[in-house]
Amino acid sequence: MFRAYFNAPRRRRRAVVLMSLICTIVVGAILLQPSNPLPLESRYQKWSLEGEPLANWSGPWACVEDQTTGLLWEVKTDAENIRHGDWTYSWYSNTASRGIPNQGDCYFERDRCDTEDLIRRANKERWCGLDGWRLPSSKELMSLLNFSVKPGRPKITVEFFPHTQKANYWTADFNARLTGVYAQFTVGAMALSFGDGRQSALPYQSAEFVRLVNSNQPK
Amino acid sequence: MDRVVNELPSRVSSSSTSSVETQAQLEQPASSGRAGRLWLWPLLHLLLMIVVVVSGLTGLRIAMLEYEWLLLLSPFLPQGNVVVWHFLSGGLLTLVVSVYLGCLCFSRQWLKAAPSSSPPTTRRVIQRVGRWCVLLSMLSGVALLGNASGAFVAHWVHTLHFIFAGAVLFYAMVHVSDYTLTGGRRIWLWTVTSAFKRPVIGGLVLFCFAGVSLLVFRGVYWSYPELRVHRIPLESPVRVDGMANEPEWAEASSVSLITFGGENFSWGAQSVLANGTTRVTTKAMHNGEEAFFFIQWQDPTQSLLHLPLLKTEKGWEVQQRGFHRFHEQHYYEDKFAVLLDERCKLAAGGTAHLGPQPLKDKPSNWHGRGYHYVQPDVQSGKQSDMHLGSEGENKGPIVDMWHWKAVRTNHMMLADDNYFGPPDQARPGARRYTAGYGTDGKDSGAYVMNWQWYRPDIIVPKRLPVREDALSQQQLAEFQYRYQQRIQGLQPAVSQESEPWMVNWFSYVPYDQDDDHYPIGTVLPSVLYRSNQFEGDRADVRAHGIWKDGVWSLELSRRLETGSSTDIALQDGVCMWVAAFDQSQIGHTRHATPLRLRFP
Repeated sequence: MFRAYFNAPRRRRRAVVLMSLICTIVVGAILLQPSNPLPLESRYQKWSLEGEPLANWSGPWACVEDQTTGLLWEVKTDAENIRHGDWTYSWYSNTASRGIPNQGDCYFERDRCDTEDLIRRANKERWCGLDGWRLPSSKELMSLLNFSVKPGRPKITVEFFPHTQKANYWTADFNARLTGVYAQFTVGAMALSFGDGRQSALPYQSAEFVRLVNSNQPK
Repeated sequence: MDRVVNELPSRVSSSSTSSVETQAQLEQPASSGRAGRLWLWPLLHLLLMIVVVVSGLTGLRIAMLEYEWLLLLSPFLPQGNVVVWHFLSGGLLTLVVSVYLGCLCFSRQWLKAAPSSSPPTTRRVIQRVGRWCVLLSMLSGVALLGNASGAFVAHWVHTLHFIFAGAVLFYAMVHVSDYTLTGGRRIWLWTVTSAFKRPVIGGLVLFCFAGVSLLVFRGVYWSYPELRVHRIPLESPVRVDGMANEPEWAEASSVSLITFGGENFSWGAQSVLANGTTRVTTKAMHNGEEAFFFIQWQDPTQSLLHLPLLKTEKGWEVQQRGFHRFHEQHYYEDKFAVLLDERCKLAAGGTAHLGPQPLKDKPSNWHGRGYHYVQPDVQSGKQSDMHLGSEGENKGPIVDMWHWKAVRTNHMMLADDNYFGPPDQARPGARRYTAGYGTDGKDSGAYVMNWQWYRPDIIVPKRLPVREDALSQQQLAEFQYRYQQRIQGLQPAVSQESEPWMVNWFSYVPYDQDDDHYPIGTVLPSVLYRSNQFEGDRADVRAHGIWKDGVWSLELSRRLETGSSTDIALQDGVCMWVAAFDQSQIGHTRHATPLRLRFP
């Protein structure tokens, strides 16, 4: 029956065309299978605690290099270690002889914590293979602000900076004149909120969060 | 229709195999006596061709949610809001079949295209089978819109719809091949041009068909079942505990939906044909300030083993079989989702966009199934950022979602308050792009997974049980026992309140390799509660569920109006969708049309 059906040359030719079409579809289906997503380009580069570079989707990481500013930033954890994101610090500088020590809350110091404690420990432990850790200036810290975040999130790229609080982070800028309810304390240091992206001057004894920065990059 | 189609080959090929003769026949004008009626069947045939192509392609894309082997066809199938196109083409098919059947009953002359002759027997038989498959796929599709039948019947209808639709596609391929071999290119030209021999009438009829199809489609919108929200006095206390034992619940009317297409929901050998299906029964009340929902659904297994950690020779390993692709179906908790949509759109409030990459300028997904997002209004702003105000709050349309999780939120007495909004921008650090899915903002509180960084092979836990803490060790021993039971396929029969499926953050201590002396084979739960509850927007929905005798009973409560930009106000006319998850990360059940809330 089939032989009779395909006896006509025109039908044979058309059958060949049809079969070719079907084969093309089958081969196409195999070749065009959707591939897995790939990481996108980013201004940020992850670094391990030992100072090794990591791909965008790898982890855990301890530092992030901002390739637009050249600064290296500390990354917080929830491991109850020194880099724990919930610890707070009062603003204190030994070198400037300014601020008030030991008014923040953390587990890693016998007394309570201040910014000098964190800087000392970071440099001693050489996070990401570096010393030179310090408080960022207001301008440096503001470079991390990101307003295109999902509703209700901190104003920072949380995919690279997890455990960031929607609260104030200390900057290195001090001797700022205090106003309003803080006027009685006269001067304090500047802080930046990743909750709303606003800057404010706060008394040194305020217990606020800290993200350290380094001007050097891991080798 | 196929009677009409039967006559096409009689003109083209049955009478002769000579192409010269065939061409002569094609060009031969119809007899003047019947000329006025000859436009109808080519038109119906043309419409049927369009419907089969649109329904078939969109239907295959939808069927991929259940039949993963169909992913092979993915490159050739449409992506995006295919469910709505499936509904639209289904409406057109219903109309075409109705007109054809009407002509068959009242005036077969309208279906004549040419002097009748008998096609070969084989072809006639195939065409009859195809004709019945078209009819049955249409009827089973219409039946899927109904919610009255039982789970078994619903699954049968659902399966038959897939089989008949598949048969129609197969028939269409045979039919097209046969006629293309016989008539070549001319048969295609003839099929299109003969429908418009009288272009004005043809266009008018097409316009009418499109209009009536849209009316049929709109009719689906008007036919949504309603859920009466029973009014209770403000002073009547309602405890959100999954029991619904307040007398007011007895006065609230219930509505049942058959939901289908979920992963698991395995009903055993006797009811294997109902697999993937569950009946969801819903009641609702409000006191002017808060709304309360009592939802029950059948689930043969209480699944609380959520991505456990197993100690192996190499280290700790997350037990999973699909989590790396965000499609776990084995080591996962039961879940339930409620969607609230004030626009009452089809396809989960218009949020279901199927395919591996429904948004061309956004990342593809890992499982090929699709994304949930609200189609952005392109009239203003960039699509990626348009739902975010300057302060990051939501400014666009959203569909509210309450996501109850049997392990991660049940002990918080909460459902995770989430939403579907316009598609988010691609974020370089995020391995999983979630399109419009987002969680409401929170001030504090969370559950976290007990690994420092997820890898499919070996992970390092964040925390381990305190060795000296008797309660932690007892809970750990209980968890080993439950895990072994689960691996052996046994269903634990103890109160879930005492079960160790999640642990308190402070019952464990930070991981230290030097203190990790747990023997190989030890299993740890992976869900850590950092606090008793979320605080903030994300904690707006109170919820608690209880599983007993193959049924989950879940109570949910939320203020009618929260003031949050990522919540929908509960009011008259809001539509509600439900989805049950049995031990599955994303493979939930679904239903065709939503419930419309009616407030007295």
